[in-house]
Amino acid sequence: MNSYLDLLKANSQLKQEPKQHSLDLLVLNNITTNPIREYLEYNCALHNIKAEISFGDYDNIAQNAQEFNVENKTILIFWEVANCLHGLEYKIETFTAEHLEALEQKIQTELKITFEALSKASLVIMNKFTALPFSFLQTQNGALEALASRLNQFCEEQAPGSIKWINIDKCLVQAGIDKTIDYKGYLKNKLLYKHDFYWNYVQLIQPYFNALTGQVKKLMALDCDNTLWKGILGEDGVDHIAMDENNYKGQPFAAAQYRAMALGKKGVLLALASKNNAADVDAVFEDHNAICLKADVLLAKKVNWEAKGENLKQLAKELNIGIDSFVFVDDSAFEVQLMRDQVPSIATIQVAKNAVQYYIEQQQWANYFVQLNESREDVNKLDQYKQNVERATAENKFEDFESFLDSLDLELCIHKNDTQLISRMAQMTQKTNQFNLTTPRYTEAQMEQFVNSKDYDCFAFGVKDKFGDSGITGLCIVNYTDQQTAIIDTLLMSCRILGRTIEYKFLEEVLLQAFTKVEKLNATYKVTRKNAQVADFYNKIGFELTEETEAMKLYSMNKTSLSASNSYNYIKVNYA
Amino acid sequence: MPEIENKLKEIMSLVFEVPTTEITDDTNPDDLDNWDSIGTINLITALEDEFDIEFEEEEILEMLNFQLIKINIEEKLEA
Repeated sequence: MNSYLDLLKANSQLKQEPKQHSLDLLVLNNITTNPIREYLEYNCALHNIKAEISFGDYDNIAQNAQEFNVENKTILIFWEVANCLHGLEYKIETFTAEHLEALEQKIQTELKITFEALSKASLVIMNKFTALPFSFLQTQNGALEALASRLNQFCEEQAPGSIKWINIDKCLVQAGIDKTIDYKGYLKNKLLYKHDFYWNYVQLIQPYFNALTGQVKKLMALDCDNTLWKGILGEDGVDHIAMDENNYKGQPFAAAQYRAMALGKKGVLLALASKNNAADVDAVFEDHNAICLKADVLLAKKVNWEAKGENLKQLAKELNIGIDSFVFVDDSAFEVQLMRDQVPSIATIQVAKNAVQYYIEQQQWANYFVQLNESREDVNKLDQYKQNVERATAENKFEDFESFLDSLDLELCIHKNDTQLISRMAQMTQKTNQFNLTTPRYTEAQMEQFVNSKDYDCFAFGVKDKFGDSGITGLCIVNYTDQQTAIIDTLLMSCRILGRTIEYKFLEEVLLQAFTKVEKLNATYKVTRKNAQVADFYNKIGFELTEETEAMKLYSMNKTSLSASNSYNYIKVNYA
Repeated sequence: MPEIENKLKEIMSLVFEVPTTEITDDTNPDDLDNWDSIGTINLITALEDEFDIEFEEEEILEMLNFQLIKINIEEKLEA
């Protein structure tokens, strides 16, 4: 994409296609940023998102933030330090201390008003202040740079933690000042940025949009030869593959191993997808003196001669997670193309032929896994998936499923309206796709409102058994619509805890609680591409189907028809 | 030069999001919803990309309809 015109052409085609997700974006700015519309539309469309974009008035950020309805909107803020005052970039050095102080106070006040006003937005993405376009030729740091850095300091202290900060110097560095900054446009129309800037900027922020629409990746499947090490194990032999970080040849591959491990540490699941003899690869992981990636951080090793696409499909089934949450890394253009053809929902990364380029591009790996809020549960996830495998083995020993469940010492721990869990609850709404009856995506701000409102009860739960603790893995939000009636707004749980009747026990507890307040409870199942497995869930619980369309099913249940079953006595219930 | 005329139509249709058939010699900012000051800036950026030319402020002020823009571009390319 070399120019604005190319983009317009590409966009006019892409716009026509239907999208699965949508985002309501509002751009607030104190410079002219309107060309960004096409870039946002285009990049969102590539990620299956229809972006509805509106703009605030020129140079009216604080007031717009107050006046516009920002609820459920994603806000982008372009606040240029140089344009806080016409010509500030060349005037600032002439200011008296008092003058500068007054200006800074004014900006700080506007910032505060803006932060306050935007607390109801779904997501706020704001650029760090930078003076780089106006100071990069200057030896000593000037007053504009000092002001930018003090304002950044101020934001760090005063801004809500939920704001995502973008360092736009990264956009300038990628393509250089010539291709990113439009000085002529700036002087003529306050149009500071050029094609390459917008292009790089939308790439940088896209991971947040993906997170907001529930498109975060969960698993990285790595090829071995020429991906985790240099060389081909089956041809070059174990002594001639390179991954030693102390030599030039091996270092980019050692870096790849560390990058993968770092992702694993954050909760990303790691797997191998390699065409090799399993025993040969095992030997490398056990014995090679330069291997850094340890076998125990790998969830699965799909090392065989079958098609990689089939291997990964099978893995997705075993783990009970969607295959569209996989990222596949391979050096072979053939394997990457094959994967794109056969399993198009998997994201693919082609390892660059040039090892130095590969080393540089590894920076982008983490982008696939960016979450809006990271929580403790992520870090323990690998253990839980491993426990699933152990449980599956234990299951085989018992003839009768109930006595097996009984032997697990199951414990359901329910947290009602727990303010400590706001971030985790919001995250679950954003990430859960399969066991999710209505699939609304909520931000922390919205979740906080539910927890603190008397019209809502938020039930989160965790499950323990003798193999381990799942952490907080399920959520039900009940909305009391009037004195007599409530509706189940949200019901979701992580698929990794299913298969132990926990889902029934939990909802039974929620129903008991809700029926202490109302006589009638309504529930909805909204069809998505991924939640077919729960299409009949409310039937199974004893709800009555009242209406059915292609897109949803409506249910209701009266207090009188709720009969507490004794079927799940092997699950102990605690309230936190 | 029909080639320029066609390219200009195509670009205006992309920038202002209308079919090319809606653009005639007389089409002016009053006819198209998206042809406002921002639209003009976007149009200029796209034209500068396509024809590898540059417009001066005064010229932009005089580009009051399709015909006038076309003539301006033709003059630039002939020079």
